[in-house]
Amino acid sequence: MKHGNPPSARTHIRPAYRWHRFTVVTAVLVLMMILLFIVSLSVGETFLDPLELTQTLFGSTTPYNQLMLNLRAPRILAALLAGCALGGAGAILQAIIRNPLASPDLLGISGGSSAAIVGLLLLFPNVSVHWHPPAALLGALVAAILIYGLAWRKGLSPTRLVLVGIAIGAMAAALTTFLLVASAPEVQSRAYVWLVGSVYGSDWPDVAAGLPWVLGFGLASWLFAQHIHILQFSDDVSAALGARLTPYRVIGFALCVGLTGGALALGGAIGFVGLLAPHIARMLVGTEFGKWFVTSALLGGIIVMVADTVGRTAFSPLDVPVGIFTSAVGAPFFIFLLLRGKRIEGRSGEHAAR
Amino acid sequence: MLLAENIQVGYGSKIVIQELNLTIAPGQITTFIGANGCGKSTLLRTLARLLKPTAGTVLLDGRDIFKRSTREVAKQLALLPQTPYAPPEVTVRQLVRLGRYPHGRWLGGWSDRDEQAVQEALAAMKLTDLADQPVDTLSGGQRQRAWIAMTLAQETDLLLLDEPTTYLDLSHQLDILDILRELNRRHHKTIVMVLHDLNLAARYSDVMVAVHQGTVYTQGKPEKVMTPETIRAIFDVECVVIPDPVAGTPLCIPIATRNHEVGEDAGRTQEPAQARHALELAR
Ligand SMILES: Nc1ncnc2c1ncn2[C@@H]1O[C@H](COP(=O)(O)OP(=O)(O)O)[C@@H](O)[C@H]1O
Ligand SMILES: [Mg+2]
Repeated sequence: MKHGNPPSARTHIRPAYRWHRFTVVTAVLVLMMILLFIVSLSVGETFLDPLELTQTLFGSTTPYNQLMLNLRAPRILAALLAGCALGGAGAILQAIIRNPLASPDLLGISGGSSAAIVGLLLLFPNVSVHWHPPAALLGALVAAILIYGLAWRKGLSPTRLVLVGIAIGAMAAALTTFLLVASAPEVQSRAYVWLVGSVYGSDWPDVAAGLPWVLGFGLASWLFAQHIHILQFSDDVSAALGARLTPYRVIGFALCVGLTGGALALGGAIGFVGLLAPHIARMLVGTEFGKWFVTSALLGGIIVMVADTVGRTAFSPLDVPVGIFTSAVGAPFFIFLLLRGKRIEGRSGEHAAR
Repeated sequence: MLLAENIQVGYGSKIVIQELNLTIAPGQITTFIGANGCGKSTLLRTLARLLKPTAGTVLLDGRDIFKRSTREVAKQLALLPQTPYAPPEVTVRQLVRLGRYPHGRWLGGWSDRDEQAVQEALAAMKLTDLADQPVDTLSGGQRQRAWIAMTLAQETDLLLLDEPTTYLDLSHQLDILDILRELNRRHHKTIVMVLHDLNLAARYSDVMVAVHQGTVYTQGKPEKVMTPETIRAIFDVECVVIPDPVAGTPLCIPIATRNHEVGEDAGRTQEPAQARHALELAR
């Protein structure tokens, strides 16, 4: 029939997106990331001249630097990738659960991974690192399926998802502790490092093992962004707009699980990043999901990379696991953000689950 | 053309709507009236394909809407729910852009057509200047206009609005209703809405549908629906109906609820007979 809206007196076509803010934020973050990467490569027990390093990166070989590059670079990359994955996973979860306090560690997804990895180390102490990502992913998946199955009532309600997730998280923590108690001391210490979240000793194979998960799920999430975006509105709104709530939530949740598993495989249970990065990203670019996701991933990467660099250098010769830093610095910073008065009040908008 | 055929709708085992038949006349403003909890929102949500009836069906242009994809339906029919929620950071423009979602491609490109629809929706709702404000910071009336703008950006012929004027002051209620009437008269949108103000409903509607206990009690022109008998039946309120001195549409003057507690209102409410007498004298 008659389509279209009232023609207004002056309808000028303006650029679709308010891209500029996002563009600036992204550019700054990418620049920061590159700079911090180089700084991070330079500092340490032996200081490397950043200029020489850059030359090495571009091909001219200095054997000494080459060596350091093979030690430091993979570790830094592992931190970076794990952080990006956690930032992205956190944003997805906060969007589909419509709650800025959700994060993969809170919801037992990380807990599932932890239990799986500790179990793996206990059963096969000499297992190759290549089994870490699938194990972490499997743990995350089992936890996620449990959360899903138990929260499901003819559809998926965000509130039930949170509550069941917290319960599963507690159970996974108990299981992990039990497995630890049952393990031999050397397994315990390896597991312990993993549980705190550490990229200590990461080498190129580690990075190569984690990279496909993070890139693959990251790209998939980005492609799916508009559908995750719409889940942030109340069910009636998104359903009336043609969104298929339950399938989209399932896919979003799966993407979050994949990213979390990848991050855990790379860096262990690094705490707080999945909460902090999405929160800062939301303040910077808002919640249009495509932008939010990218910003949150970049921020997560930067946070973990910086935290690991500080942990590695500040207390030398002590190598403080990155997870301790993200929590020790991240938590107070998070509280500071909350106190600054950004809205975090409970979110409504949940109607009949569908 | 939207049509409900003998539908039964419920939540779980609770049946809310029963044996309801309704035809939404194209090009008209149809308003549902009825007591709280009688099933108006449920009916609207069923018409919008959000709830599947346990019996009967809803037809849109002669086709069962539950056999069509949600997206396809969303291109023909827009719904503004009773209490919509958006994240607090969302700006007016972002909200309105959401209305283009059903028209989007899988990867979500943005066409000139999309942009134009958004601009026009903003202009129609007089929101162009507020486009970059977070919806959360707007006044009630502005916020409601932003949500309506979102449904306009969907570019549907059918607009379903659940209580678009509730919680607004009188001037903002009139503001919204005037805009809706304009959309209907000038741009031929078929509008179906729920209103609680009977007199405004009578003034602005072509058709009124009185919903009572999950079914249509009566429907038709406001003159036919707004009678003391209907009001008594669906609201349990005694009233007199006189012509609205401004619009000529029926005007309902309540007298008292039939089962009002003795004593509670004794000082304020006159006995029905007395009041009716007083009104007749006044006329
Ligand atoms: N999501 C729901 N789950 C269970 N019952 C509901 C739900 N929504 C509404 N109801 C019930 O359905 C009945 C009709 O509600 P509703 O359609 O919202 O009425 P109205 O909009 O006319 O006030 C009420 O008794 C209400 O309690
Ligand atoms: Mg209602």
